Formats: sequence, structure tokens, C-alpha cells
Amino acid sequence: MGSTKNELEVEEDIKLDRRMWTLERVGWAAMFLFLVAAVLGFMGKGGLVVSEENAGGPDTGLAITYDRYLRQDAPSKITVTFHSQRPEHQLRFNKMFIKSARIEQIVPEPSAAGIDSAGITYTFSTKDEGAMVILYFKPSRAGSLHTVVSDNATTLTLNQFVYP
Amino acid sequence: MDSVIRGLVIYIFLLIIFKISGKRTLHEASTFDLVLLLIIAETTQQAMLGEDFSMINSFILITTLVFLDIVLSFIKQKSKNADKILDGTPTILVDNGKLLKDRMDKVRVDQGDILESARKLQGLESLQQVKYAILEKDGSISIIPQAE
Repeated sequence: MGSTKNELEVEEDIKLDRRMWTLERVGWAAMFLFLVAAVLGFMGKGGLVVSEENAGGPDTGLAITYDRYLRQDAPSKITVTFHSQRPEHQLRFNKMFIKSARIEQIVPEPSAAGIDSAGITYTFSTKDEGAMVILYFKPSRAGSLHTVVSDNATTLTLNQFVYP
Repeated sequence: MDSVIRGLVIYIFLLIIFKISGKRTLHEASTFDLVLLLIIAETTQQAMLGEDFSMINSFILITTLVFLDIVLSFIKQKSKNADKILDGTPTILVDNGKLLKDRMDKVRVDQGDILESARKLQGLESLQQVKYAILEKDGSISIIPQAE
């Protein structure tokens, strides 16, 4: 190859080229794994493996469905089902949740909302067991999000992760 | 600060992704490649701007991107190795009339691509007339014909 380079004056660096080609292949594998993770649902918005998580249940009186992985500024929701019979239910969210999420809509609208130093409390009037509240929100900061939700009897912690 | 970080991260991400995809990927501007580029541009734009469509945000982002480009060009100028890694080096694919098959496989160029460049650039008819074919840094193939 020596003669080639003299004649051709090409700044070839085949050693570097070969290294780059190997890196390219590694990169393709990384791309593939990234896509697999996205399809399985590890990048948020659900997928083949990761779908909505559940916390609590009928026996604890409060059941919550939520997404494990979220994305910053992308809509998400928390579904709360009250399994105890009471004319009025209170739902409390901790301050961290209020700070890191922009609540877009609560369905149905709470009849009252109260705040204190630790969080916010919504009050809903309910007729029977199994009443459901959906809270639509957009996480406004990336990182882990520990949401503490409680009614009068049960406290549940939701561990979520927000991708930037 | 958020905008600067967004610009930086996306710049580096695009740099890596296009580096990984190889020299040839977006070089041949076929119709589909054009569409792909437009989609990438649109997606990138939304991720960079987020929900902030203010003028100051666009100023920050544009400055970030152009500044990074200047920094990178400085690095390339100072360091030969950085230049080679970031911009790549030319690769000889036909050496004195001989096809270097293993290299062609690695860079995803086939005989047809070389012949196409030979026709377009030099008006050559067959591979025998090609002395050298070189895959340039930008992904194009340059051809040097055999002396008559």
C-alpha cells in the first residue's frame, strides 16, 4: 500500500477506519437495544412488558393505577378508585407531586380543595363503593418522582421516573 | 440554562447517531432520505424548543448550536486525531484496479455504486477503466481512471 499512498496522496488511516467500523457496529447494537427497551415500555408511555402499575387494592380501600415511567411535559394520569363506602372521600397528594407536576384536570372536579404545609387535599362526594377519580397531569421536571397519595385511612407511595 | 443543556445534548446526540450510521447513510439524497431528514429536523426542533416559543429561547438555542460548531472546528484544527475521528478519513475502495471487497462490505458500498460514480463523474464504461475509487469523508465516491 505504500506506493499507493505516494501516488495518490490520500490521507487514509485504515487502522482508525477499522476501529470506527467496529464502533459503528457497537452503536447499531446500542440503537437496537434502545428500541427494544422503548418497545417493551421502559421509556415511558407503556409497551409490551411495562404497562400501568397498581398500588393498593379493594382490601386497602384505595386502589391507584399509574405509569411507572413518565416523560417530562408529556400527559399522564393517575386513576384512583375508592373501595370504601363513605359519603365523602378525601384524597391527599404530597407537596413534591404538586411541585413537580402540572395538574391539568381532575375528573370529576373535587367539591373542595384544601392546602397545608405538607400537601393538598381534595374532597369528593361519593354515593357508593367503587367510585373513580382520574387525575390528568404533566410532569414538569425530570428525575424520580415519589408521589404520596392518601385517603383518610390508607397511604400509598407511587415511585415514578420522569424522562427528560 | 435549560435551553443550553437541551441544545448541547441534542447536538451531541445527533453527532453520535450520524457518526454511527456511517458515511453513506444520508449521502445519497434519495427522495426517502430527504423525507427522513425532514422528519429528523421536525422531531429535533420540538424536543429542543419544548413549549417555549419565545424569541430569547430561539436566540439561546441558535447561539448554543453555532458556538458548539465553532468549538468543534477549533478542536478539529488543533488536534489531528479529533479531526480524523469527527470527520472521518477517506477510504480507498479500488486500489490499482483491484476491488477491496472487505472494505466495501464494511462501508456498505457495492460494485454498482462504484460503477455509478465512474459513469457520472468520469464517463467510464466498465470497472477495468477504474484505477482508484475512494470513499471520501462526505460519503461520496471519487474515481480516478486508468491512464490510457
